[in-house]
This record gives sequence, C-alpha cells and structure tokens, in this order.
Amino acid sequence: MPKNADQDQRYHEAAQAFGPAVERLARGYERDAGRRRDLVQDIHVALWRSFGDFDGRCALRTWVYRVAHNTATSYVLSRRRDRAGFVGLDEIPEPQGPDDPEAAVGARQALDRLLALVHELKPPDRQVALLYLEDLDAAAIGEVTGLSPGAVAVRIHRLKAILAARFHDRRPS
Amino acid sequence: MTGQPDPKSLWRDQPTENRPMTLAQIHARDFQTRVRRRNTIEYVACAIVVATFSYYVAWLPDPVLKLACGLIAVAAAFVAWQLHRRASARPTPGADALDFHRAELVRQHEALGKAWAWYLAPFLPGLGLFVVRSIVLQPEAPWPARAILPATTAVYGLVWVWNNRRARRRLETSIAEIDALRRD
Repeated sequence: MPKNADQDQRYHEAAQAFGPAVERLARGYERDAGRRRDLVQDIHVALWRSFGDFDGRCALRTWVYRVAHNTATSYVLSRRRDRAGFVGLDEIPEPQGPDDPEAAVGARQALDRLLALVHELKPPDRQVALLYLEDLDAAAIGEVTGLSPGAVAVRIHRLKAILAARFHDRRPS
Repeated sequence: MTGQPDPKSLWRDQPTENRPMTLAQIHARDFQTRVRRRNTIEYVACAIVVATFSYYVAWLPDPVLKLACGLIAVAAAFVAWQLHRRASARPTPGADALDFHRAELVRQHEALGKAWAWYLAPFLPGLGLFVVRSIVLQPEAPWPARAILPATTAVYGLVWVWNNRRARRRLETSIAEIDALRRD
C-alpha cells in the first residue's frame, strides 16, 4: 500500500475508534463551541500527519491520546489570556459539601461543574484528569503523558478526592 | 451518595456535537496550514528586508547604493502583496472540501508557475544596480570581490528554480490523485 494510502487508512481507523474521545478531550481544553470545532479539526489534522510516522511501537490508543493531548496543550498554552488562571490539582481546595445543592441537580449542571474543574487545571494535571475520566488506568495514563507511575498515582489520588467531594455528598446530614 | 452521576460516566456519556471530518477536509486543512506557515515566514522575511534596506537608504552616503537599496525594499513589499493576492491561505469549507482542495492546489500551482515574474523579477533592478556598481564603478576592486554578488545571485536563482520545479511537481501529483479519485 502506498505511504499516503496507508496513512489515510490508519487515520480512518483511529478516527472511527477515537473520534468521540477526541471531541470530549477538546471540550476539556476549549469552552467556546466555534473555537472548539477548530481545535477538534486541528487535532484530526495532527493525527493524520502523525500517521505518516507511526511505526506501531506503541498502542494505537496511546498514540492517538498523545498526539491529541500535545496538540490541545500547545493550543491552550498559546492562549496567554487563559494560561494565567491555571492551577494544579494540589491547589484546588476540597469543598466541605456540594458547591451549590440546588445547582447540583441534573446531569447537565454536574457536567458543567466537571468541565469548570477541568478548565482550571494546568496542562499536565488536566491531561491526567481527562485520561482518568476516559477510564484509562494509571499505567496507560503514564504511557500517554510520560509521567512516572508515582506522579500519576499522586495526581489520581488527589483528583479522586476532589471529585468525591464535589460530586458526592460524603458527609452525614 | 446523593444520586449524583459518576464523573466518569458523566464524562463519557456526553453527546457528540461535530460530524467526523472527511479525508478531503483533512487534506485541505493540512494544505492550508502549510500554506499559512510558509506565507508567515515569507511575510516576516519581507518585513525584515523592507526595514533593513530602508535603513540603508537613510544611512548610506552613495546615491547609487541608496537607489539600489530603495528598489530592493520596494520589491520586498511588492512580493509580500503579491503573495497575499495570489497564494494566501483560505479557510477550509465544511462541504465540497475535495473541490475546494483541488482548486487551491491549482491556485498555488499557478502562483508558483508565474513566481519568476512576481517573486524573482521585482528584485532584479535593485540587484542589477548592485552588480553594475560593483563591476563598472569599482574597476579597481579585485575580481573575486566583484564576482561574489553575481555568483551568489546565480546560485540562489538555481536553487530557487529547482525548489520551484519540485514544489510544482508535488502539486501536480496531488491534483492527479484527486482527479483519479473522482474517476473511481
């Protein structure tokens, strides 16, 4: 198969399998729908380009997430205005109960709150959070992000605590 | 728990909002990105040439050199304008991406085909004046010193012609691939 056709075929397979995940990932990096559409397209173009060099030494899923996160991280770092407000997972206080019990009802509001949390995070923590939400295990997250297993474990532990506090009322009333 | 959905399920159950991109859209967007990057480099180079040679116009005492530098600065500004007019990047449409991409490949091919006229020729008066001045007005200078500018210009010209041909051939291949796709 000629290189271009091979590249097209690999991209097609990856887009079929991970297209929805790429969209969700873009939501974690851009709030505005118009700019998000551009970001999704940029990620797809980066993916297509990357398959010109894909040698199969890592799993397709790992490759797709790496390219997608690198593209999205470059995008978000290029937006200086947004960059100033990022915090690490260790800087986010664990709330003592639901932020707003009235707003906490319904999946839409819960998703909005989840997105708000993700958008606050610095890129490395955001990558871990988004991959955790995609249900990747710690080893897979480490492969994608290049973080050590210890660094991933610390971040996941912290993230779980924040999510538990924000999305489940653990305290007896 | 208060019945709040699990964050992972909440995240993964989000509805999809964009239609998947076609390969034609991917190819078109990739091409426009590369055109935009190339043009940005060219615009920056033109701006540097305009600023540098304008400074020389003000600073050099020799009127022939002043004129040569002025012509180079004007040529660089003209080239930037022509590049924008003939070969600027365009936003990729959602529909008919294949037609758009083919038309853009043809447009870039035409721009390259006439690039000798709008990209190289504008610099010839200024460069020519430099060469004439070095050969005619400074006969006492040793010949290597007088030959260096024409030789550099000739080498640059040859490299440019080779690159231009290679780029045009690539575009012709891409156009032929799209035409083959349409026939299939």
